[in-house]
Amino acid sequence: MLDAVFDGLTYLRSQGAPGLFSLFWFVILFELPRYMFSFLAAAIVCRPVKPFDLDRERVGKVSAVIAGHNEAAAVERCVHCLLEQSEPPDEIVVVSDGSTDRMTDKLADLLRAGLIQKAHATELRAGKAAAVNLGETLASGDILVNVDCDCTFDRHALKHIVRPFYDREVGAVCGNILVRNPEAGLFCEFQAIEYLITISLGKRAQDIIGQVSCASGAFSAFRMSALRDVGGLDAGGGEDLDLTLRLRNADWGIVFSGDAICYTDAPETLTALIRQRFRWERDAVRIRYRKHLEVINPFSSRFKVGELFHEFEFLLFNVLAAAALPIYLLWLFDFYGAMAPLILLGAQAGLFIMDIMVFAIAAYATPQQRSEVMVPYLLGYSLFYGNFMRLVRLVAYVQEWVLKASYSDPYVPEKVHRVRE
Amino acid sequence: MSVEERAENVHFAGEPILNPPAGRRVLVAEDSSVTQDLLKLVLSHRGHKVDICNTGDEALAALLTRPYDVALLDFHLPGKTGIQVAQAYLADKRGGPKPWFVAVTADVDGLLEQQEDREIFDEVVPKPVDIEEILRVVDEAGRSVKDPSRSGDTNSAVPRSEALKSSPPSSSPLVTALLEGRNLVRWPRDFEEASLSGRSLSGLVRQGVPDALLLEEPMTAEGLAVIWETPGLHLLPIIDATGTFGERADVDSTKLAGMASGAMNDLIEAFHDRRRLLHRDLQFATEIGDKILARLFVSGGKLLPSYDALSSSIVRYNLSLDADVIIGEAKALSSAGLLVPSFFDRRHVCGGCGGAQFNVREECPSCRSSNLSEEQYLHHFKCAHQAPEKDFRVGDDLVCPKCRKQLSHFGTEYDKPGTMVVCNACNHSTSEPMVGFVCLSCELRSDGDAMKTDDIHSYALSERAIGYMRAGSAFLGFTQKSLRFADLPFDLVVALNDEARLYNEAGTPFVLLNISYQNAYEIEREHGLRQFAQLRGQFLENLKQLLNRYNQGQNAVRVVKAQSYDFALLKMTRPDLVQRHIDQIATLACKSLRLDPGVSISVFGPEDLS
Repeated sequence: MLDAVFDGLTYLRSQGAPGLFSLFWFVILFELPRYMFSFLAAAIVCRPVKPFDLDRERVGKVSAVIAGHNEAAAVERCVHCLLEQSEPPDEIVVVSDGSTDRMTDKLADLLRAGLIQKAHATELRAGKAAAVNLGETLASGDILVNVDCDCTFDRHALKHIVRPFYDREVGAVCGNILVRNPEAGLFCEFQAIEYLITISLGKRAQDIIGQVSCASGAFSAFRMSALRDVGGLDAGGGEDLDLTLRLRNADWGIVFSGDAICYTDAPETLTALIRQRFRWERDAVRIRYRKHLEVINPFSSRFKVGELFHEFEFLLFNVLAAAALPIYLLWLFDFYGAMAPLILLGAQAGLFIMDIMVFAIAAYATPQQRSEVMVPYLLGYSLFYGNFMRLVRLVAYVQEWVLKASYSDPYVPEKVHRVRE
Repeated sequence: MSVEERAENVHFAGEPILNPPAGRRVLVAEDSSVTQDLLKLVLSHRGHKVDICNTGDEALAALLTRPYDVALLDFHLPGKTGIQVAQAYLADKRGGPKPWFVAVTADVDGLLEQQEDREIFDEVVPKPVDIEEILRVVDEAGRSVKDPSRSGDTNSAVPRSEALKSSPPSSSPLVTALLEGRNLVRWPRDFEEASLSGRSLSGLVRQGVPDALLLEEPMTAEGLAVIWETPGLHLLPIIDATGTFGERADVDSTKLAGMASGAMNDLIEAFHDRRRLLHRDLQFATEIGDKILARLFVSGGKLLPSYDALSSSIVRYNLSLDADVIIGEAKALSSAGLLVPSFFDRRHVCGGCGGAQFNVREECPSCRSSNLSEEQYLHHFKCAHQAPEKDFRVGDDLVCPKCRKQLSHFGTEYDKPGTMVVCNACNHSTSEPMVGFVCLSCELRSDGDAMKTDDIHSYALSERAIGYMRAGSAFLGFTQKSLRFADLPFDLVVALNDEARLYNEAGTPFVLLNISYQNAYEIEREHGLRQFAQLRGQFLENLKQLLNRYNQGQNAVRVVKAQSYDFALLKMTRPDLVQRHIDQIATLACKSLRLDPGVSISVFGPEDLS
């Protein structure tokens, strides 16, 4: 075995640059640029953030909108979390979207207690997008902070998420989302690492180059005038990505605030995780390549050069990378035969080292997350996300392309599926 | 403790009387030397001047030779009776100032039945004598004597009765027929006449118990007050000839059929019967709570609430009293264990004025206006726009304000997932209007969930209350295992005083047994008063024999009958010894009885009486 490893190393040393590329083209094409990108972000991140006083006059009135379906258990905690903020919202609007549990009663209690200012309960479920839209029509703020019922917040989250609105060009600010339950299982640990790297660090990097493409529905803030400008959310799912793309198209600035931290529970089982990712990836494909294809079509009047970058990034690192992985593996085994596992091992080792570096940077950038306890899971994360989750993604893309699976997602009510784009 | 010290205790145990009218001249005509001693002791201790006579002739002679403010005449004197003394005095000394004649008798009802007899006396005090009542009678008589208007042989009580007799008959022929020959107090006639103050009504009730209170006109608040302020009036059955008094009257004569005279008689007699069972403490109670209990006892009913739209407290009770007064008193009485509550309804109570009548309405959570209208949400599926329907309305059509698409197919293109309440005053919209209460009395507005609530109960007399009604305030004392000397019969007080002296001087112990009859009320109700009196007499006889045997036939047992309780005094024995055997003795004494009187015996020793 050791002999084989030494043979492999000798072989690698004997290769020139073209030889190495022909061996590791997948890694060099689909992995390295991403890591480089992260390192770029790291170069600019500076810690710690200086404390500041929020100038509320400059921000305007802040309305928090919570929309949920059957969230009787979670909504109260969410409201208390908002009221605990160092800069609490000026009003809290809650919409119960056709809940059949006791959420409506719970809202009435909160309203009577004066904890929330407006509450509405519809009798029929209309879907998350319509519920948020209703909340938006009821809210009276200049800034609308949209939060999910199951989210809880860092004490200064709201202060940080509204601060970028000092800039009148900014239409939306995306919050930083961390996993609240990493200890709930192996997959939760993996997701905690993933969120830390792809959201805390990845979106920071996107922000630096003005390419934040999705203001997450779990925790984002919008300028009301921007929201009205584009007509609010369209029918879901993936409505957060869709809205962000439309805001970008309307030339509103989209910003990521790494210190506006919200916590959410990650799916605990592999099945739930796969199901969630199927949904996300299918919606992403549908929105990017069905609904907003014109934006990257140079012959369309809606074509925008500025949007090419993040569209290209998504296409390359998500879609093509997922599609190329099986091809790479087949080619490798066909071409190198017995050497293939060794080459893969080598590639994996290299990726693992880069993952460690990226993780360290991400942990440094987001001290709010207890990162040190995640270290033992890094190797598992590296293997799991580098290979298995890529396959999941590939399956999702095929489902969506071939079966249009996003049109039967139970996340959206059936009545909406039938008519939406 | 000496008798004097005890008398002092008695004085202070009662309600303190401010500035007791000192120096009344009191004649006591009494053949029992024990009672003579005690009355003299108690009255002179209070500052009155007391003369004692043993016989009726002595009393008459004393009255004719010296002026007295008060004459306490025992009904059964050797020689002349109390009535004869008074009659002879009045015959002899016509026109001059007359003392306040007080009859002291065990046979109150017997005396009261004699119309002409009772008119001679200004007041009747039942035997065995209650020290506090004697003091009160002498004090009050003293006050009246000083009243210059009170001269000659007129007094307020006597003409009052005449006024009653000469009252014109009721306007309703049926009622007149039904109440033929009855002694009635009539509202408003008897209340209005100038000569009839509350006090004279009081005198009337004391002198001869009327049969009923007849309402000939709708009762006013003032009338209600007089009923409850005049001792005894609240214990009369109320016959409503107006049909306006509702369930607060015992009979609504406008609804009586012609054959109802039997029912009317039964009612009046039932009141009389139960009033006889009522202890005099309660007959002349001054506390409104006690009056309510007494009324319930005498009427044999419960305190029943019913809705009343005209009352700010939204309920009224079947009692001629303000509901708020009843509710307050009944709560206190039920926490004292005298009334047993059962839930009737829960009402909301205004935090401002205590009223319970409200306008309850839905309000805007923002501005509290009730000017709300409902609007439906509309949900356009395709673009996810969800807003009030009016935002979509363009003439007859529905057009989505977000995507400008015309909506034509309900269920496929759009639906209405719910309703929204819009405030016309402030434009606030909500799906959850608040509930607000506006008090009709003081117009205070309150949030629905901040409203205080209050439970309305119906109430029945508890066993404890029935005991209290029959045994007077002593009952409550006994149940708390303490004795008040004022509650004990005079004879017993004197005997106890002797025993206490022996105990203090020679250490000779004694035991006082307090005998109560738990089943007395039931037996009296089912078998009659006589039956129970016989049963009680037989029991006491048995008990006395058994106790004598227990006490080795030293004949040292003295049994004293009192009104609701009986007592037994055992000399030269210790309470712990008696306690050991008393249950067995009581069981033996009950063995030969036909009915079980439910005897319960409390044992008291010298220490308990200190």
